Amino acid sequence: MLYMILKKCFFLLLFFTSLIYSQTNYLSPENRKLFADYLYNQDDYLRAFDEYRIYLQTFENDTVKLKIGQMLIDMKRYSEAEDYLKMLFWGSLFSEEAKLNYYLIKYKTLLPRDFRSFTGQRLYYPEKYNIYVKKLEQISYFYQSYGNPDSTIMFETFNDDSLAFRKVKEFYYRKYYPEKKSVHWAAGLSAVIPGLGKIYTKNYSDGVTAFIVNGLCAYLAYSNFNAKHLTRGWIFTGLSALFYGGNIYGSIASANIFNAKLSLDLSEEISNFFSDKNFYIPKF
Amino acid sequence: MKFILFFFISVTITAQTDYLRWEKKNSDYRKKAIIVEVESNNKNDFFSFILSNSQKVYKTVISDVDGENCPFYPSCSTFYVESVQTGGIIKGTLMFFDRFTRDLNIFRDRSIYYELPNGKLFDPISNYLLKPDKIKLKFKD
Repeated sequence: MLYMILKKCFFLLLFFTSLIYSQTNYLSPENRKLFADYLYNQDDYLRAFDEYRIYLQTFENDTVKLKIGQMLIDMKRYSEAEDYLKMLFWGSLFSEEAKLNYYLIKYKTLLPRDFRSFTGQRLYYPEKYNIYVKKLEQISYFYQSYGNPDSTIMFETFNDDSLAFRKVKEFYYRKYYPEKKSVHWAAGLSAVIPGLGKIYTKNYSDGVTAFIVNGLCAYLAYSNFNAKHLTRGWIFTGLSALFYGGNIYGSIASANIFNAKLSLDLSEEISNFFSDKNFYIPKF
Repeated sequence: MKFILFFFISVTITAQTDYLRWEKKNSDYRKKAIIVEVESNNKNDFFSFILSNSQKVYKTVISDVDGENCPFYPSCSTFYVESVQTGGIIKGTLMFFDRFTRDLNIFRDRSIYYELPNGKLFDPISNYLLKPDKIKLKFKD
């Protein structure tokens, strides 16, 4: 008897559980949005974008559109991002935020010179967030290899953030007043003491090696001449002269390489710094 | 019944595709050759001719036997030939002696060079032509 009751209970439980379970629509737009929000927080933008897109087929949601715009910018799908953001330009609460992100896209695609001519047109200009556009304008100077920006305007724009101010100031001085090594000094120093020019360009071990090699060849030449081994003496004199000349030439090349490396390192540092900070554009 | 069994077994056998994954494959451990085109107005003069032929002899008689020991890319012998072809005998020789001094450096700071996937240090001729706009600090395939 008990067995029969338990059996019935079990089947009833199974029936009702499956009935209740089947009533939940996991693929409803609301659930998709919740899942997409979770994916967005996990930075899984590719999947979040797909879920949000399906959600937008049923509902109108400006927050979702703005999120999609920002995700697409991060995924470097700029033209798609522009389309989503432009939907918000008129009659939306997020109009200004969308316009700011639109300017970020323009900044990333028009660098370095054309961005400032674009901002000059003030097309869809985000008046509320104009300080961020000004920051973008100032940052764009760092990607330009010619001309000097007005340092007062540049420092003033970043004055609200102490770290940004410090870094911008540092980048400004490193870019426009770099501590380059003089090729003439490098050559002159190497001519006086072989290897000193390389030490001047911070190639310390090369400098010391050049000094040893030159000294050794000169000593061998001198000792061979002293020992009346004239042929060997002239061979080492020749070698010594070639190493000496090569070292002077190499010091000039080393100074050139040092200067090139200086600007390459700086441009990489600038690029990494501002990308990490999302170019000082807030994420909404 | 026999037909069903035959059908079942034949489908089961043909569905096994794992052998494709586990089949024997001939591995190729050879490193990809790196070729850099030197942007230069090569001078095919007398010295270049002598040097390039001397390099061929050196490669065959010494380098192939001794092994590829130069830490730089291009190697010192290639550097000399190409620098003479690019800059002439005097400039090329000075470039080579500078390179040779750097090769002799046993306390070499590897961080100042761009390291290639095969462990060689990228040190192209263009960096030593004294033309700052020609300097290549990174290797691009």
